[in-house]
Order: sequence, then C-alpha cells, then structure tokens
Amino acid sequence: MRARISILGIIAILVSILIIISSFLSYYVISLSTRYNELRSSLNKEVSDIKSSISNALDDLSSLLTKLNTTLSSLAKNVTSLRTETLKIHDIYQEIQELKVKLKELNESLRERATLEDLRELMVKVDRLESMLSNAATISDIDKIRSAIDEIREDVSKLSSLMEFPAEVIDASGEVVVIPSKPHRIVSLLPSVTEILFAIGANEQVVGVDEYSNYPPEVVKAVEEGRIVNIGSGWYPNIEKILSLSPDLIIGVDSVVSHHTLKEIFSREGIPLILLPDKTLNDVITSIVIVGKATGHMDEAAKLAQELRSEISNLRSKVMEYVSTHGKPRVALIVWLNPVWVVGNNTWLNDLITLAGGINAFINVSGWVSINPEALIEASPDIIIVTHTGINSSNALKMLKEFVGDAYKQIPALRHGEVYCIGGHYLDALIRPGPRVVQALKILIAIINPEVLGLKPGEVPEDVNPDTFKMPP
Amino acid sequence: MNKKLFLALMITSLPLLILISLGVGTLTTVNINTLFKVLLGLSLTKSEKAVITRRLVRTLAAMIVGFGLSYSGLSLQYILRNPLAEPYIIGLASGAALGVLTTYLIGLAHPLYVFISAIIGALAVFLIVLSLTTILGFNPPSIIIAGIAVTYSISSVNIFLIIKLLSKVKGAFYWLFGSVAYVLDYQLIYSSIPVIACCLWLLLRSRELTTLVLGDEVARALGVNVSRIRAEVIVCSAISTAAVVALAGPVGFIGLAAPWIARLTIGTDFRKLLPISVLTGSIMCIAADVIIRVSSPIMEVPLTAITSFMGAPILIYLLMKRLGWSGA
Repeated sequence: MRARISILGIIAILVSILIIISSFLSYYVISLSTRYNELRSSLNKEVSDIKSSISNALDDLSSLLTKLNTTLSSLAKNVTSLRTETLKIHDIYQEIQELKVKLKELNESLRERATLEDLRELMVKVDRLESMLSNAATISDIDKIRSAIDEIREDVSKLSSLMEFPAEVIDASGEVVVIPSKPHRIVSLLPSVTEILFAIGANEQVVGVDEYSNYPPEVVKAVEEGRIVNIGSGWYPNIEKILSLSPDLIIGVDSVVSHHTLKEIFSREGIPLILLPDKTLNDVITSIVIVGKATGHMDEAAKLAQELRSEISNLRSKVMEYVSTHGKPRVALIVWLNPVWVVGNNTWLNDLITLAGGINAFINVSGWVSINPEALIEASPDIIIVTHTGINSSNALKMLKEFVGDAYKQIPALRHGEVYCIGGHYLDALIRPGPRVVQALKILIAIINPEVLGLKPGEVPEDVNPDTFKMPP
Repeated sequence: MNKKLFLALMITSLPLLILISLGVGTLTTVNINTLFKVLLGLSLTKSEKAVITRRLVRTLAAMIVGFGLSYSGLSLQYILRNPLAEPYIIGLASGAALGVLTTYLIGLAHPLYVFISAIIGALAVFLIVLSLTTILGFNPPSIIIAGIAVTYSISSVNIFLIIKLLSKVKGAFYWLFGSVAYVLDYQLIYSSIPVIACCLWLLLRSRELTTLVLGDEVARALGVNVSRIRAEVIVCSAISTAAVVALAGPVGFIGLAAPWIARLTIGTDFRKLLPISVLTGSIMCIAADVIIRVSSPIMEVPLTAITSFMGAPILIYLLMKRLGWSGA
C-alpha cells in the first residue's frame, strides 16, 4: 500500500516537474518570438524610411535616364535614315567621344549618387548631337557612328543597372513586390520558372529548384553536384527546406493556389515571392520581363522577349500566308489519354495551336477538360496531337480507336492515322509556359502545316521526339 | 488507477509532444538542441528563428484542430445520442469546401479570401441544415438526416466543381484534404478565438449535457430545457468546426476517434469527458503532424492520411478490450 502511494507520489512529482519545465519553455519561446517581432518591425520601419528617401532621390535620376534612353533610341532611328547626308561627321564623332568620356566619369560618380548635374549636361550634349546628326552623315562613316552610339548605349544601360535596385515589380496578384537588392539566392518553384531564370542568365543566382526542373541540362548537373538544392514538389513545396536555403527571392506562378499562401508565409520572413502570370502566350513573355527586372537581368530579358516576339510574329505571318490558300485543319491536343483530357480555350496551348495555323477542335470549352467519346466524334479533328508521357503513336491510335469504337471512321484523324505523339524534351517545351514557346510553336507547325517550315508532308514522323525528328532551323 | 494513469499520461505527453514537434522537421539542424539554445537565451540565426516560428504556428494549428474537432464531435454525439456523430455530420466540411472552390472559380487565391469563404460556406450550409431541421422537427434523427442529405448534395456540387476546375485547383489539395503545413499566423489567431470561446460555453453547460444521457424525459424532469441546450450545442460546434475547417481543411476522424478514446477510458460524465477528449484530440493531431514530418521529410502529406491511419487501430483496440471485459 505504502509502496503504491510512494509510486503515485513520485509520478505526481514527475508530472508537476514536467508541467513546470514545459510552461517555462513555452514562456521562453513566446517571449522570444514577441521580442523578435518587435525588433523586426522597428527595423523594418527604419529600413523603409531610408528606402523611401533613397527612392525619392533616385526617381529624378531614373526619369532622366529613361529620357536619355528614349532620345538615344530615336537617335538610332535617325541614323538609319541618314544615308545621303555628308556633312560634319568628324565633329560629331569627336562629340561622341567626349560624351563617352563624360559617361565614364558619370559611371564613377553615380556610385556616390551625386550625378544630377552631370546627367543634365549629358542630356544637353545628346540633344545637340541629335540636332547635328539630323543634317549630317556619310555612308562610310555611319557604321562608325552607329558603333559609337551602341557603346554609349551600353554605358547608359550599365548606369541604369546601377539604379535597378531596389526593384519594384507588379506580379500577377496585382501587388507591388519590392526586391531591396540584387538577389543572389533565388528559389524557383516550377520548371518553367527555372527555364526562364536560366534563359536570361540568372543561373548563378539560383539556389533551389523544384523536383521536376530538368531543363536546361545544367540544372540537373547542378542539382547532382549539390550547387542547387531540390526543394521537392512545386505544388506543395516544403517550407523548411526553402527557409534552410535562406533565399532572397522566390518565384512561383499565379495559377498554383499554394503559391499564394506561400507568398504570405514568406512575406512574414521578409522574403519577396513573385507570382508570374501564366494564362496566355502573352503572359509567358510578360513573365520573362518580370523575372528579368527582379533578378537584375533586364537587358537579357528584354532581348529575349523581343526575340521571342519577333520570331513568333515571323512564324505567324508565314503561317497566315500559307493557310490563306490551303485552309486550316482542325486540331485536337490531347494532354492525357486515360481518361481523355483535351485543351480548350483560354490556355497558352490554344494560342499556340491557333498561331500554328490550326483550329482547336475544342475551342468551345474552356481550360483543360476531360471528354467522352461522343465529344471527340463531334469535334472530328483532322489531326490529333498527344502529349501523354511514355506512349508511342501506334498505341495512342489504338487506344483512341478503342475509346470511340467503330465510330472512329467518322474522325478524319483516326481514319487517316494522323495521330502524333510528342516526347522527350519536346514534350516539356510544349507543356511548360517558359522561354521554349517558339520551339513549341515550331513543333506544332511541323505537325499541322509542315510546308511552312519547308518540310514535306511525310517527313514529320508520328512520334515527334528529339531522337526521331530534328527541328529545321 | 487505470483512469488516473491515463490522465497523467495525457497531461504529461501534451507539453512533451509540443517540444518534440518544435524540434522535429525537414531541417535536422534545427532540433532539440536549438530549443535548449532558446531556453538559455542564446541568439539564433535568421533561418533558425524562421523555422522555429513555422513549427510553432504549425504545432499550435494542429492543436487547435484537434481541440475544436474533438469537443465538437463529443458534444454532437451527446445531443444527437448517436455514437457515430462527428462534426462534419451537419454539412460543415462540404460547405467550407464549396466556399473555397467558389473563390477559386472567381479567380481569387489570396489565403485571407480563402479563409473567409470557407467560414462563410460552412456556416451558410449549416444554416440550410438548421432551417431544414426546424421544418422536419428539431430532434436528433431529423438533424442527422438533414445533415447527411445536405452534405451529400453539396459534396456532389464540389466534385463537379473540382472536375470542371482541375486546372484552377493546382496546388489546392493541401486544403481540400486537410493539412496544417501552410497555415498562416493570423488564420491561427482568428480560428482559435471562436474555438476556445465555444469550448468555454460548452463547459458551462456540461451539467445539463450530462443529464441528456439519461434521456429527454429525465432531463426535462431535472429542469433542463432540452431543445435550447441542443440548439446551443449545435451552434457552438458549428462555429468551432467552421473555424477549424477554414484553418486546415477537413481533417478527418479526429472528431469521431478522440471522444471515443476518451469515453472508453474515462466513462460517460461530460464534465470529465470534455477536457480529456480535448486533450486526446490535440495530442492525436500534433502526433499526426510530427509523424508526417518525420515519415515524409520533403513532400507534404495531408493530415487526414495519418489521423485516420493512426486513430482507427487505437479505437479498435480500446473497443475490443471493452468488449472483452463485458463478455467475461
């Protein structure tokens, strides 16, 4: 009896000791976190005060710089139109040399952020140069002028890159995201984002990517060597894993719901998260510019966006010319076979089909939808493109024939065997809203209107992947 | 003796579990030692602080989820006099999901809108159930039938929406299946206030609730207003469950298992059962969250997967032990 009481007593004492210890612990944790929060908020306030005063001073500078940039671009336009004028070339050339020296000085002094006067002077000089150029140039020296102007441009862009941070970008959530300084520890939450980062030359700044990021091949190598960390699923990322990388910029997309929650969570830690727009083809190009601004690679991003735009419009005009005489086939893009999922309206893939000179057979539905056999018969596509992973075209054709039964004879694509399977990294290029959209567009054109790319109708294989099909230049 | 041991075990294991939960996670460099550093007042690095804060939010969220669901389940089992009653029987989870899906449909994904729409959806569907039961007659069978009927019809709408919206609910399954991995600090505060307030209210009514076990007639004879108590309990559990569902999504099985584990060890006195089942629920949820973090260090797994997997064997063991006793 006594023994039992003493055991009970010991248990009671142990219990109370544990409770006391745990209450102390929780008190410590709570008081520490409140102290940390107070400190952080006061620091935040100071930092934002300093930031606003700096940004006020910088506003003047940046407006001048943008003016300079616009003047310079109008200048370049003038140069090309000035092929017959022959006067005062050497004067202008000297003027430009002077300007270059001036800009070099400016470059140095801008580091001290006391350059308003210099910039005004520069503006006056450039204005004068412009007025001189408007009535002067010889054919032989124009190239010289042009290269000199290009050098000035480079200097100006270097100057403006000094002023890029703190950068402010408006992301897909409509919020202004402030990136205080050039980020060096970027985490990408999706493969398409990783591709954008690598395409604009921000690869040295990336420290974490999601598990499906596999392009360009350097990513895979960097992950294997441990220079870049795999943060797990992109839709359900592991917060602790990301925090352990102490990132200074995280990039996700608007259409993934969890990225919106992550944005809130990481804003608590003062880590900016950008949500890129990813609905349409245009959004893809906007994303590239946003990422460029946020990572300090504005020039590369603007160049890439410009290239993509011009390539797309080139291809578009070629396709338009071709389909105006040959007509547009009806195309069904099947993203998954079991069940059958197709791509409808309001997707970048729909934009790509239209640009490639096809009519999306499922234009009347919105988003990605699963369909029944009757819908496929009703849509009656001339060409079916399958992006289901790990299947070949003969199996896909067989599965689709089984799917609709005897009625397959009513569907031109199944009757003529016009079923194409896209594989390998061509597949990734097609389904990721990233910088490989032009490649994706070319693949679709090769399948839908091969003659536009100079291919013969039989030349494109049913299984389109990097091993079976080399893209024409 | 057995009961006391159980009680002692429960009370000691909660703080211990909270400590374990703060010390366990993907990032193994932040562990129990880091907690000792906090205790000794040593300074932490920025990422250590951030990780500890995240784990604290997560742990407290799991605790609130277990807390709210277990007492809602318990009190609904009492007033509906149905051992299978659980908080979602009055349509709350499907209503919250409908609210959230509607926000995604509109194209809003900001966590605050999602949180608010979950509460609005849950309470709106609850009001439908409540008005149906007032038409059918305010008694346990009609409440259960109205609840189940409305739950099924709303669920069918939800399934339709999920299929239609599949490309818009990318990354949303953590909410639709229940998880505390992405809980935000303000959501935790907004949810815990109604949960704790409703629990205190039910604690005040625990004497009347205990008499309900003896049947409506006896309770009436003892001077208890049966209908009013029933309405109060339903409203309280609806509010707290709505808050919990908005916080972490529909976490399953806790609302059924925690009260039963408590009841099988403690007995049927509501005044004792309420604190014990609340403890059991909190412990189960935190333990489930710890198990998730240990078993799946990189990929986030929904909480429901573990709570059901873990809760069912405990419940079956206790029931078998109970039946063995009465059979002997």
